[in-house]
Amino acid sequence: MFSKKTVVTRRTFLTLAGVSAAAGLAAACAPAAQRPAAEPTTAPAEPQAPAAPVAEQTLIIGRGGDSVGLDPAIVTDGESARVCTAIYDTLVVLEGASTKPVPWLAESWTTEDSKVWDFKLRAGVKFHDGEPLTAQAVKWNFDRWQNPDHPYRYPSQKYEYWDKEMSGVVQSTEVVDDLTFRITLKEPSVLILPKLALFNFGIASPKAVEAQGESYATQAGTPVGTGRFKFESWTPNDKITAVRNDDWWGSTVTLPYTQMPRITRIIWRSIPDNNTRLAEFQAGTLDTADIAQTDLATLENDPNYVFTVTPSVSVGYIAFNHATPPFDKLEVRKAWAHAVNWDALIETFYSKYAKRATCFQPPSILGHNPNIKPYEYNPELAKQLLTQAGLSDGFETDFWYVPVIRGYFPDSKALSEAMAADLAKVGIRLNLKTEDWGAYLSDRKEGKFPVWALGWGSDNGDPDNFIGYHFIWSDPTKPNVEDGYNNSRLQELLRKGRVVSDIAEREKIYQEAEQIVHDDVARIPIAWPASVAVDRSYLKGRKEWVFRDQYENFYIEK
Amino acid sequence: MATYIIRRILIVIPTLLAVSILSFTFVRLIPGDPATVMLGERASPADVEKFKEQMGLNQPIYVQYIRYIEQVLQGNLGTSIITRVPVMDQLAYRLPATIEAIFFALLIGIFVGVVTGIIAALNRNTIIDTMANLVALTGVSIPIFWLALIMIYFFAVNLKIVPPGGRIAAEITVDRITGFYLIDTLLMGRLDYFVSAIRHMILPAVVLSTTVMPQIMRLTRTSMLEVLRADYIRTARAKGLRQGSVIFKHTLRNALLPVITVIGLQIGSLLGGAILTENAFSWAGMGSWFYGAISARDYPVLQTAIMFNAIIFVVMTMLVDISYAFIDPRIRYK
Repeated sequence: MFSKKTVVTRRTFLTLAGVSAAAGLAAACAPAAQRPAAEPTTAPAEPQAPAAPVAEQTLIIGRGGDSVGLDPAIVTDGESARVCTAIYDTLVVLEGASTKPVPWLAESWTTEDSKVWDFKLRAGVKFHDGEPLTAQAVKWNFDRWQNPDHPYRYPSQKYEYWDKEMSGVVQSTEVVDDLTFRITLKEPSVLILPKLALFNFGIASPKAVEAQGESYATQAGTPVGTGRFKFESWTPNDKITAVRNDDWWGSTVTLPYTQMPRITRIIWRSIPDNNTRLAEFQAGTLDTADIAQTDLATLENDPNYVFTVTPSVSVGYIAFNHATPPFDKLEVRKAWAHAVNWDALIETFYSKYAKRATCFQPPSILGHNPNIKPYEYNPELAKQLLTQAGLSDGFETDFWYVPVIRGYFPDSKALSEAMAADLAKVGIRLNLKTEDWGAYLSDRKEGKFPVWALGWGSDNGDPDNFIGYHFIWSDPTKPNVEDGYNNSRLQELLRKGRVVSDIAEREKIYQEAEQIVHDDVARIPIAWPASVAVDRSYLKGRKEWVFRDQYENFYIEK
Repeated sequence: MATYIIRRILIVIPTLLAVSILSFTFVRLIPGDPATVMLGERASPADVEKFKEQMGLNQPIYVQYIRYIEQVLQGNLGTSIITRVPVMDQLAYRLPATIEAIFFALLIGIFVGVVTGIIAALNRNTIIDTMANLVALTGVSIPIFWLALIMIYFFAVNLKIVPPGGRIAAEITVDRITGFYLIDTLLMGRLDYFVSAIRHMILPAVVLSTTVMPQIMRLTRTSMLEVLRADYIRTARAKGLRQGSVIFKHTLRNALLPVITVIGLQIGSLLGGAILTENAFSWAGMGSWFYGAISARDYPVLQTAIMFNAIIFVVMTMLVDISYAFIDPRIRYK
């Protein structure tokens, strides 16, 4: 469609786009939005409104770095993920606004015992290279992920997400018929659905992988999926371009949570410097951009920009090593929680979109416990607790703060200094320390820190990937190496959460787990930072989704 | 003469070998290793171990070094730990971008530097001379990334007369022929693409040129003043030559000799300046590549970066030395 030789400047596109988008849009949106949000059904090929020719609309995204690679099975970074999700389809996706798994390449699935799962694939789906999507092709992908001796795996490739998320869960896979794919699990588990929605399990064209060998989907190769956008070109460390896949299966199916994209071309530009990216955004060469939290205020009252705040899926926390005195005493951990004016800290050191964390998981994650009240600011009580612990003179400890900027700790050093000032008032004296990020991460894993700051952002919205990730360790009979914490009831609950399929029951399990973490002051959750998307105001359609990309929602209206 | 040149070239080999050993060791002494940087919050110690083993980071450093030299001699610079793309391939993308930027920066730097240098010398001790010196001094002292940002805001965001960053408009994909956008766009027969590439070149080249311009200006001025005092200039004037002829034919030609040798050495500072300039203009060249490699501890890339800079420096110094031998016969007989 858009060949390299076409002479169209961006201005021309946008002018063309503006006119027809306005007309085409209302029609395109309405049927999807009005459909009841019941179980999604597949309608027979009923072309959606925007099947009528839509003008060229180019979306230019400014981001902080280039993708590492575009083979979703072997990449793990966010910049690769956001391009992969446009090019590949997974069997299942999360609905977007919620973490509910909904049909995608698989139009339905059945299971008797949560152990054997049959996925019915959509008929007539084609890869970008024209190859048909069949159960055999899906199995080929699963075999490549699962089998270290697969002929199309190379020593330089690591299948990290499969190894971490799936290898302990999936027993075997088989082709039942051309459009039915079966996954047999080692133990019954409902987690297979959100796991399948991870971008890493996007289905690639076996033929393309075989033809390209080790260079498949690297800077030298071409990624081939079934997704909404077809890869066009990659200029390393500059930009990646993809064009709309007009044969996408979504054009023949009506689903309440998706539609045919109206954007016809996406350009992801890498602009590593925060100031430069901001300048480009202000100069009008980007339609949307990743803007540093500290720069948001510059754009806030300008009508040229639209802010969309999405619910938080991350937490910044203080963690204790329960095996290191005096943090083995509950009173001491509690005293810490009471001694600090957390609200003031959050107001000062986070963007205004962040919220005080009342429990470990933010409200958008299943198992968030709304009944938990955070430890209030009460220095007197903190002193009493320290006295009860036999530390009426207080104590001194090393405290490790995060050396990098993270959404969950925008300025860890300054926050730690303020926290130290509060703690000093009750007699807890901190020696603030940090080290190189890489060393920091491995040292805390090895249990070298007595107390430290860190955080977490959800991968897939599932509590097993949130509270579960932090508090399940390999040997439940021994304390965790990282933080010396041990609570057998918590272990039991979190492990149960992996197999229970009833959502209400699962929620109860995780809520109880939240309560235990709170009562034990296992860690002190501080803040739930919300992510903020900033778009030029002519870029419309963005929804408050956190669990899925939304390239199909955007359109340009000038 | 020939002996001098050969000797001068042979000296380069031990120098580069020493640089390679030192840089190899120092790069690996920076705290933090690529495994943990790359695997991030989610890495378990076992993952880190596995990664190190796959990348050969567990072996003694001298073994790693010998393996590295073996590879380099076979023309293999290793594979980036982060992108898993051969360093050589990335170099092929990055080098032309940087050469383009440096070339134009040098052109601007030389032109403006020499012209203001001449003007300052001819108007010695007047307000013009003072102004030129002041501007040169400011040029030396302004941090380049700051200057870049100011220029971007003024010319791209406010006045919108040039684009703020990148090598060409985002909508344009340039066929990869030579890697030089200014050449490739013309080979594609696309004048509009060429114009876009030129427009994107202006700000980075101007900003980068400030790293060399002040030195060139000041040296031209001093050198001009020296030559203007020479006897043969007085003779030239005495025999009634016109001012233009005296300045351009007799003074400038002689005055420029030291300037030319300094320009050779300035290529090194241009490379340093390119790291910050490319980062500020999201210019996908050598500079921004190295910048990223430092924070990611991407050893093979970092190693290439240091060696690349060392080679440029050593070769430039060598060429300057050799050019001295041509210019000043006394040197080659020492």
